[in-house]
Amino acid sequence: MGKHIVKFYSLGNADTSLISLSNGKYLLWDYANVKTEDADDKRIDLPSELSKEVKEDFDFVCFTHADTDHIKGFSDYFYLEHAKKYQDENRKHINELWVPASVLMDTHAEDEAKILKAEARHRLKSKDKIKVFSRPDKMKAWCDDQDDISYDEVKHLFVDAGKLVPGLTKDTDGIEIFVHSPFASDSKEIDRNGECIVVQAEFNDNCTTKLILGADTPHEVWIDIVNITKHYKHESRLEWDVFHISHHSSYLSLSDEKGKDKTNPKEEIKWLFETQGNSRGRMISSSKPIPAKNSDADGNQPPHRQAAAYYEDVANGISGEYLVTMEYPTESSPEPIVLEIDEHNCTKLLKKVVTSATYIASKNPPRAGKW
Amino acid sequence: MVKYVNLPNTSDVAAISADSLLIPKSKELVACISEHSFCELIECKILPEGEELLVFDIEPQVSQAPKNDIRYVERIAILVDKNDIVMPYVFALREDFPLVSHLNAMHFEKPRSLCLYEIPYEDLKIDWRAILFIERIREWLELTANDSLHQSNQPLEPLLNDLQGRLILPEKINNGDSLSITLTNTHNNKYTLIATEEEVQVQNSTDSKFKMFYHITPEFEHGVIKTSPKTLLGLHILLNDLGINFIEDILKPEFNRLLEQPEFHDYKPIFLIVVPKKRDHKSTDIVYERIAFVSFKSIKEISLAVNLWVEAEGMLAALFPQQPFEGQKISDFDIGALATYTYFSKSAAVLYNGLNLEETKVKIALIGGGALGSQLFLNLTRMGFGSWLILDDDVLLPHNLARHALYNPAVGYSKSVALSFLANGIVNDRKHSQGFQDNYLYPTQPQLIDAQLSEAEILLDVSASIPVARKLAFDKFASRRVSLFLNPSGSGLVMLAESEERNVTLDCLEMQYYRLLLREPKLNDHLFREGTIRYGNSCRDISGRMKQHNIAILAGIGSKALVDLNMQKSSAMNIWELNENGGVQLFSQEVYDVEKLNSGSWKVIIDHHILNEIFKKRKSMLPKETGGILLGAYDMSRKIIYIVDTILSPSDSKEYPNAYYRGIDGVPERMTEIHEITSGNVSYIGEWHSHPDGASLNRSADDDYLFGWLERHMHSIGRPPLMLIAGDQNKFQIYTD
Repeated sequence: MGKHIVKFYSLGNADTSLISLSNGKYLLWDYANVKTEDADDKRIDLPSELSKEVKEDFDFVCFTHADTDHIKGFSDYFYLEHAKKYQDENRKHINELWVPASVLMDTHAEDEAKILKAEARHRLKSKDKIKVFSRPDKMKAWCDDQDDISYDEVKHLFVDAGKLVPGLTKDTDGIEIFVHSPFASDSKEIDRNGECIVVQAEFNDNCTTKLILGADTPHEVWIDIVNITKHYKHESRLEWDVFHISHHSSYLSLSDEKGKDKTNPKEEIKWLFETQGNSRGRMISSSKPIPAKNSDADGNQPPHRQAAAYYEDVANGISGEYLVTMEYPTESSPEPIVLEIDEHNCTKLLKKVVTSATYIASKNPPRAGKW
Repeated sequence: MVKYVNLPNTSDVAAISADSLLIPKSKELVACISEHSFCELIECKILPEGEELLVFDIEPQVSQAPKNDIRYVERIAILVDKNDIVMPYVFALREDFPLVSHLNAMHFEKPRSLCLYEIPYEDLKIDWRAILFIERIREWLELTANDSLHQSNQPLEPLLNDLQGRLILPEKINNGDSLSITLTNTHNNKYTLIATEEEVQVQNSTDSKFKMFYHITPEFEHGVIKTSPKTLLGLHILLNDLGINFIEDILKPEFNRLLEQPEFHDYKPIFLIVVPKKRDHKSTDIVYERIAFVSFKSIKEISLAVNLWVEAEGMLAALFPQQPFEGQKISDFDIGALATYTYFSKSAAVLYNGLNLEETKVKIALIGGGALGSQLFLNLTRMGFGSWLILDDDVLLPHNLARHALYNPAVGYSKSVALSFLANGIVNDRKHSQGFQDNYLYPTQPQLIDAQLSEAEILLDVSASIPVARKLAFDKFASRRVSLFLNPSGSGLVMLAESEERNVTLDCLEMQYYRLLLREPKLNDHLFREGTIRYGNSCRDISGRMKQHNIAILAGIGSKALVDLNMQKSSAMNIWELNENGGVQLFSQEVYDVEKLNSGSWKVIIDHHILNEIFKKRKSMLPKETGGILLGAYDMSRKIIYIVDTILSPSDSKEYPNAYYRGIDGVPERMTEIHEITSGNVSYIGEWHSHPDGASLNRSADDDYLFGWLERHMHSIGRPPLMLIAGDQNKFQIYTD
């Protein structure tokens, strides 16, 4: 079976996750090159980390939604089909681009969101190398409004919620991806968070490891997802062994009330966390460190310690773990969280420590000199 | 919430800050824990006796669905010894930490004690680093989670970890056997006992008399190591865990069987328990662990104490129903738990040397029990190799001990008989060998010697005597001959081995050996010895100064060669030369088939290698005739001429289509060399020349004249003339007396 590897990068309150399949394919989930020149900035240098790992192209790149903390810097890194200025040979190709419908429909898109929109539109027009996640009828209405895109010719590129993403199966690639969101929504306003791509990926190991990637989904949408899933009796599609927590552990993904020391989630979301988590499952919060009570960071911005307290409880209940990217393995020097999924061990979180001096030889020591 | 169990008597001790720790090892461990990415210090304590306790959480790298329930975070306690004599103890504090293998038995069940290392603490101290210790704990947890801590090729865990000593038992033992036991050694609180079944005629005190009860438990999956029981009650509890009721299944029936045999009542019991251990419940391989539990009080004392027997009117009788059986009284009887060993045997020797029966079962007659022979013989004895007959008529003299495998108590006795006695004692087998004091060349009991030798599959000549080797070559036995001897300086070992079919006999092998010495420049000094150059052989001289370490090396090489030879049926000729720095060089030569012809009153033997060289030379010079000098050796007593080598047409020879004049260029020097290299064993024996194609092999008039010339010269030194004519189609003719 080989090994699948899931990596969550330490980028503070931003998301980038890389799934490396055992057959050599790469799926990238969001891209946020947020690191600054500041020496104290412990976030990793995303382009160089990714390029160490992915030598050639990305088979699939999914932008769950067009918020900055999920697309920052992508137009400097990737080879974009729609304009020559994004096409020098150092850039990495995106073999298939996945975006939610909101990316295409956002008439107020600016900066990189605008570039993403242009890229998505170009690929859709070329009828190739893209999947758009949305309700088909909504897309039909939009297509009809376009002069140069015919719905019938591109409808095979739309992926509806409640279905598996075509092109990836457990037999061929060891993974299948079930789409939870975006789903039916009547709102005319583009609410990016409300319409992000939310999926459950299931791997072909002995434990059929299930990974939920939660993007920035707010609690209202989660409630809908849970209800729709139950309605269609797809409860197994909300089981999880690994849960990529929504919105950097913001309480808003659990409830509308923060709570004093621990958030009390809405019923449906309680169900999601307290019954659907498999034994010894793991929750990953792609976020800054959880603030201590009354500290400077203990305020309105996520991560919220009250939400974290809830997630810790969930972890204890299933003898699992709640991990925060900027706290792992230590706050002083965070590193990517690496999960290995293989035939025998199911999911293993790598926690390696070096005890020999050999690795020191391969490092560049600081400058030596007279002064 | 996870529940934890503390070590006994530690809950009331107050926690202190890490800075207050005193033992250097604790401080080092705490520093490591504090820095470690996957550890978090919980608390430290100094215990009343001075040991220090460190409690911390550790994150091993375990998978989501492990085979054993090891959590992502486990709480660990390390107990550090004040004087650093014992390795720090490591405990898993979680109350429901699973019962897995590689745990130590403590006098409390929880918290569980992890058995991290199998090597002694002293060995660890050399590269002690706290980080390694902490990482080993993580590794233990990780591998245990996967159920792969115990490697598949690792021996199974012992049942008990603190045996009081050892008992050495005979190979064949049965339930109810009487044993005579002697305490042979006590050291460091451990004692050693040896047991024999031999009937002792002499009235010994019954102190050393034991009765052995032998029982096998049901199959047992190896795992937790237990502490050994100290009393019969402890034994009962242990056996209960292993599936046997000691009192009902062993004590009562076995003792009652002896009720009517008062001669055994004062014997002490030994309970020999065999536990068939399996790696896991799926495994089919079984390893048997055998432990002896020795009681220091007699069968009678025990039976009376528990009311199994009653003493009435001076006799013992079985228990009356009115008297209750007091099983718990067995707690008054101390026992010792001993590891058991079996006396060495030939089959054990074979097993421990990684050989099998097929490789080692062979009957060998050893002719010559001197330095080399004795060391070869004992090497092979220890490997369980061969059943032996030893023939040597010498008596062991004091100076022999500089190189002989025997020892002082054998001085004055027959070498072969003493060797046989010693060897049989090593493998505990009277049938392993038999020694005869007699001489192979002039036996005093010829029929006996003949009868013995005819049973051997291999006749191994280590006599270092050419006459012996020759007689052996021609003797009537069908067995394969092998000759092993050292060169005069003791720097080399020669092996001449016939094939099973005996195509090329020992004498012919000897000749091909001389040719090897002549042809291989590195062997030119092989027969050389300081002082005079001797004819014949060498190491029989008392004044030999060979060093024992060389003989030991060469005897070792010879032993291996014999083991290998036994499995391979073809002939072999090998010389192993030792060089100054301990290296060994092997010279190995293919053995060539021989032609044996009768010519006149002589038998002439020539091998195919020489023949091929002659024919090749002949062909290369056609249409001219060519020739050369023949070199070889004689067995005057058996009238055999061996053609060993040739000096091909010297450079000043004249070669014509119908005539050949053999030259002399370089010949005198070469003859001297040959004489030195072969220690005089090879010399000039005659001439050869070729006839052209189509010509007959008969002697021409010139050939006749040449032959006459040879005759005159050879007769004058007491040798026969020899002339060989080589013709076409690889035919040749030999002319001699």
